[in-house]
Amino acid sequence: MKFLLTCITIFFSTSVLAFTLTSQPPSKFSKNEIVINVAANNCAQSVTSGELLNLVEKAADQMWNRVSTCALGLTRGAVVTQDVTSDTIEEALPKVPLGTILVGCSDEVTGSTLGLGYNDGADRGIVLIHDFASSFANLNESEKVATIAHELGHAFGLGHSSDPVSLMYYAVGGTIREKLTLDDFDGCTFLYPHDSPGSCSSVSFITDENKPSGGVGFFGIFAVGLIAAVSMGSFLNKKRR
Amino acid sequence: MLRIFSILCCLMISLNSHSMVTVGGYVPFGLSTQKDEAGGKNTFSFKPMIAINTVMPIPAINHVFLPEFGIVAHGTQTDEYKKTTMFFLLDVGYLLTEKLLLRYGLGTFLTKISGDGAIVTLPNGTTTRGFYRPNEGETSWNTTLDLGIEFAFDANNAIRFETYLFSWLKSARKLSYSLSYTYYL
Repeated sequence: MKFLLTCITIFFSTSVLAFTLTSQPPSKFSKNEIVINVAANNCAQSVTSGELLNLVEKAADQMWNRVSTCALGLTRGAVVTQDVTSDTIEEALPKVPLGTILVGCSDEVTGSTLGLGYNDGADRGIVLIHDFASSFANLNESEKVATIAHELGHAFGLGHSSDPVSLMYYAVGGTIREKLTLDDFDGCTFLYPHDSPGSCSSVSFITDENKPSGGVGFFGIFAVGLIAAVSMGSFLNKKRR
Repeated sequence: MLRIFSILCCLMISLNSHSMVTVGGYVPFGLSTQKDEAGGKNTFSFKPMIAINTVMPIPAINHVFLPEFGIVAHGTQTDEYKKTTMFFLLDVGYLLTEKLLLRYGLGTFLTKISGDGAIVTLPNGTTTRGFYRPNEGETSWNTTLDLGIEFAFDANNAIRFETYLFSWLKSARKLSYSLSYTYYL
């Protein structure tokens, strides 16, 4: 018995679910297809707007667009005229068109923070890169991609994760982050799930919130009836033989 | 989910065909997800699964129809989150040799994730702030392309390796797979 339990313990692994949301109810986009634009102001210390747009596209395609269970689709936009050089999150948000995420460099992000991402629940998200953080300029390309992907996670509604391997963990130092973890998959899946193939606006699933109180309901009666019918058919067939 | 599973279980057994019970491990997106800080993958991170299935011969095309319904228990480390995967496979099988069966078909996977809605305080830059765990359940539906191979030791026992291709029409296509033991009732 001990051997069997040991084998089961070695063979099977548990899941780490640690993702969080930035707000309750979740701040998320109303549609699954989101365009990401880049602000026109160049990042003085690190990359040009064009290079930033390429990094954003890589962050979207290599990370969030690869979650099969998540319906989110981040698409490359363009370099737009907005300038967020001296903006805080609150100042930059009104400049973001609805249904989009705006990425730009700002010298108002301070301290050792590499970037900030935020979704205000009004169908828009913002990512501000810390232009004067020498650490962002010194990152290699995959680290820059991971940093932008992390902030994009905030911009579409995810909070930090307590799983140190997760892309949404608050710190990225000394860790290889070339792929998402299952925890990141779960967070994206929770916010943007694929609808059922036959979903219909007038029909919804029974959840704990809308479950009728008492009784077994239509589904229960149907299932019991079906089992009874199949069992009766099987019984009659045997009798006939 | 458990209610649907038990009802389908009763149904399949009462069909009085060659019913089977399968137990094993399922690896969701093992080659595409990171497991540790060194970049290691979840290749062998098996989650326990149980399934019931049945065999219906299709003599006209020399195949067998292998509908299957199963549940994967993700065994989360804490009670704050719950995650369950349910799947329904519509595979057909072709006997390659006397003991080797090739399986292929379509599947539907349901991934349900829920949380307790509590506020968690986590580091945020140089300070901390409150973030929120989900307070309701969300279910994501996926259609998969399935391909697998089953080796029968004898009339009652078989071992199976099967792959499930998610989002096969998109660039986000990802592979999950399972290794399982099947007992023919």
